[in-house]
Amino acid sequence: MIIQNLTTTHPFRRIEKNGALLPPGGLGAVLSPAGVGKTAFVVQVAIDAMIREEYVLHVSLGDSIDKITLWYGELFQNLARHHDLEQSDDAWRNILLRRFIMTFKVAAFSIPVLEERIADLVGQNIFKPSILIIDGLNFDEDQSPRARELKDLAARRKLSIWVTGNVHREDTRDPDGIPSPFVSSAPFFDAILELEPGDSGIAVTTLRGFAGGTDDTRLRLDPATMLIQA
Amino acid sequence: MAKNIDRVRNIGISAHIDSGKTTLTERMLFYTKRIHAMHDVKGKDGIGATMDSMELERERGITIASAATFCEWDGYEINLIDTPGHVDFTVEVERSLRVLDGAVLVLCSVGGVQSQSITVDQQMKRYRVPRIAFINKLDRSGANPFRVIDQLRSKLGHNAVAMQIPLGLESEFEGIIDLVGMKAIRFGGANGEDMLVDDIPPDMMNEVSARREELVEAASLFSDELTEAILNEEHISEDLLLAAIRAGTLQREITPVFMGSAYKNKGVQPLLNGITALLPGPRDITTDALDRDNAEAPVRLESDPEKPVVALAFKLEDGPYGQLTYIRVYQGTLAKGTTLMNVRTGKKFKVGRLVRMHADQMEDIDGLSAGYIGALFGIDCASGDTFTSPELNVSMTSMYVPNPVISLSITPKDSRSQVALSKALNRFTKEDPTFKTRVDEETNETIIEGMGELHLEVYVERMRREYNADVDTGTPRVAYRETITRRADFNYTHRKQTGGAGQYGRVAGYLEPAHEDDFEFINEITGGAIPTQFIPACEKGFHECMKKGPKMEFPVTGVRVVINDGQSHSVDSSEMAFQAAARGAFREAYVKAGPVIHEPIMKVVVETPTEFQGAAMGLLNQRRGMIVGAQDEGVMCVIEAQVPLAEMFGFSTVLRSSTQGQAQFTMEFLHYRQVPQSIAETLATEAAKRKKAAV
Repeated sequence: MIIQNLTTTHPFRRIEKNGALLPPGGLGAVLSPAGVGKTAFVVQVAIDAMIREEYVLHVSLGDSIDKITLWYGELFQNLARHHDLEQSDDAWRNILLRRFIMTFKVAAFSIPVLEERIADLVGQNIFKPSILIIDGLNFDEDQSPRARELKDLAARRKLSIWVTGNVHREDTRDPDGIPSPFVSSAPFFDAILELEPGDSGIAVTTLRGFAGGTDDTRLRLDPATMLIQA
Repeated sequence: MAKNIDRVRNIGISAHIDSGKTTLTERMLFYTKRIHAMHDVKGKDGIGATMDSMELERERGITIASAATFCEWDGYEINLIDTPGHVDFTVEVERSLRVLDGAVLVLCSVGGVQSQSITVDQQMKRYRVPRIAFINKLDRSGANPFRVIDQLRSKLGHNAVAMQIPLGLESEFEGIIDLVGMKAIRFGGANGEDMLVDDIPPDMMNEVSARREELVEAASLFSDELTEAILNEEHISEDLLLAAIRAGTLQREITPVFMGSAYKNKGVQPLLNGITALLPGPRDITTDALDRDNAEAPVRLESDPEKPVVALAFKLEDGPYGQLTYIRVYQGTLAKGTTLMNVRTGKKFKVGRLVRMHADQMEDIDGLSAGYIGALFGIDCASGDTFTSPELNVSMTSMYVPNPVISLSITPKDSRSQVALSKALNRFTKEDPTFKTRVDEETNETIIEGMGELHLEVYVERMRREYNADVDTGTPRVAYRETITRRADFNYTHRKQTGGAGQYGRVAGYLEPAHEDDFEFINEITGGAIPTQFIPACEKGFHECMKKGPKMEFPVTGVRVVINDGQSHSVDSSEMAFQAAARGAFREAYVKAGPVIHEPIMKVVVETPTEFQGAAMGLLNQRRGMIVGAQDEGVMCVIEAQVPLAEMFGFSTVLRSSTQGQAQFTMEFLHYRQVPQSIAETLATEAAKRKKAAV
């Protein structure tokens, strides 16, 4: 298989609305209890975008650059093996140019600081992201002011922004199925997905903003490779 | 030989120039009774240590700059390990830092945290060395230790807490108040050797209480017992408080700050107490070796004197009695007469004379056990070698030595320098396996090769400084390589008839890219088309072509040669004829095989204050660099990038000037990657020019 085919046949295409997982200016969330696979999921969102020649800024709160690089490397290798990709090393080197990793200590992170950094990258013509991933926000504290800032940032800079958030199995749910810690932030989000471990792998449930509801649109994460499958 | 490993401290003293490292080291040796007289070290301004340590050594006949100086304090054995003055990343620096368990960061109370302190501190951070700080020169006008503590926090990101506060400052500096023992300490006697312990002056009690509270609060994060004592408003004992501070120090979460004036003989003994009480002993640090029987997987070493020996040779010194090899024992006990193996060479040897270095003498000892530092005489080895009991096959450093990526021609200016140069090269190649030297066959020049511009610069500077070798250097050259990208067939006949016996040989087959090996030769000839005795000659002919590509003259790598047909002549065929045929075949196929140039790509890590992050990224971007990411660490930021080595020349100067000297970078070889077309064309033009000039 050649690399471009990876994206045309990717299971993501089944849940897209209007030809994009998340439009520019959109804000999406991936929720799950700790350790289920949020990072693996968003890294695959990033790889899919990078193959489609989009530029991804991956912001991690707490993890090191090396650790994130490992995530990307491993998931791409799994993907390449799974699809028997031709010249995968060359392809990887080429698409890597479309990724930029930024890490912050949790306490030092703020949206204005992040925007300042993005402005620096864009202003100097170093990197102009179209997708922003923020991995590691803590929704146990009320993040609604931050969610508003993120929504504004997405609109201002025409970014599709993905965030990950921890929820707990014992969390209560609102009528839309949104877990309680996330309820106050939810109005700012255009799309929300939840990962739930089950008997046949990790189920990806769409809570808001994606095509869903039929068998064709059900996705899951293979716990062995962490690859997204239909 | 003492055996209590918990009472051993292997520490380094790191400081920038003029903060008083030499004076402090000398005072420490005096108070530990290793030297018996102190001399003032006065520069032109009459204040502070401005004489360099080498001059000082010569004058005093002491060896405070030896690789490891042993002294004793309060029942503890302390090895003061020389931390390198140059901060550039070389194998030698890595080794010196590796044998430290802890360090004292010396700062000037007037100058505070300057850019060089930042560099030195970052290096320690990289090697995860727990530190305590000593703010020196409290007697100087303008001294302000609390400003320096603030700078430790803001500029270096340390959680710095004062262990002491000064009793008076500048010309009125008398001593210190110990916030743990809650006592005032003054220093009497001709050389400050008498510690006069007294009650805290009542007018200072408010300040002392506030500062102690800060200390206790910071320490409480590392001890539940201490937190409980605070909550219950119980008396906090000295031991309890020290244990909590020590726990924080070992985790590198807290930096205890001591203060004084080494020059005025004030505050040095409490610092020695701090070293023994707070810095780690060998057992507090975990050390891994690499298992050579198991793909260099890490193996945890145990500071157990009964286990098989593992020791690291971390520094070589040429002395009047031959080569002195400094070693640190990590496991087991090394005794006179023990048989050990040098893991790199596989050679066994018997331990002969074993010594421990003091400031002014050398002491013969019978053995060294885990955690201890000593020196061996008469061992032929290189710096960085691991010595083990013969039954072990572990190494303290990776045996993988990358190929050099940069070279530089070097020419001595006179015959005296020629001798000095060869001595220096002999020594450096022993010290550092990544530093290589050879003579260019065509130009007859001496070429030095290494892992980066800075790496070679450090050695050229050392040739001048340590060996007085006056040398000229050429322009650094990047080690480009050529390789092929597709299969190409060859069918070449070498035929020559110039009277007498002729030359005849035909070889046919193909070249193709080989990903695993640099060169692979496969013989698929059946039916004796090329007689068996000429096959090695064919291989030799092809192999010779790999040294220099036909197009750009860079070494060729990653080629598989398959021969599957050929022809010989009963009279005219010879080894020479088939070698020539192979060379012709290679040239014929090479141009058809899509040759490309590969260049070394370096992993570059820039550490910069956050305000210069944008500037540093801009510089990397201008250099065809791919920025992998930026790690925000509060006051500092770490940028990781992949940059072609060819673009990194002069980077240190540009980086310094763009960041007010506050950023630094390290660089290591990552991999080879194909050069872009435009660069390949420039290289081709240069190669053509060189060829023309050579004709």
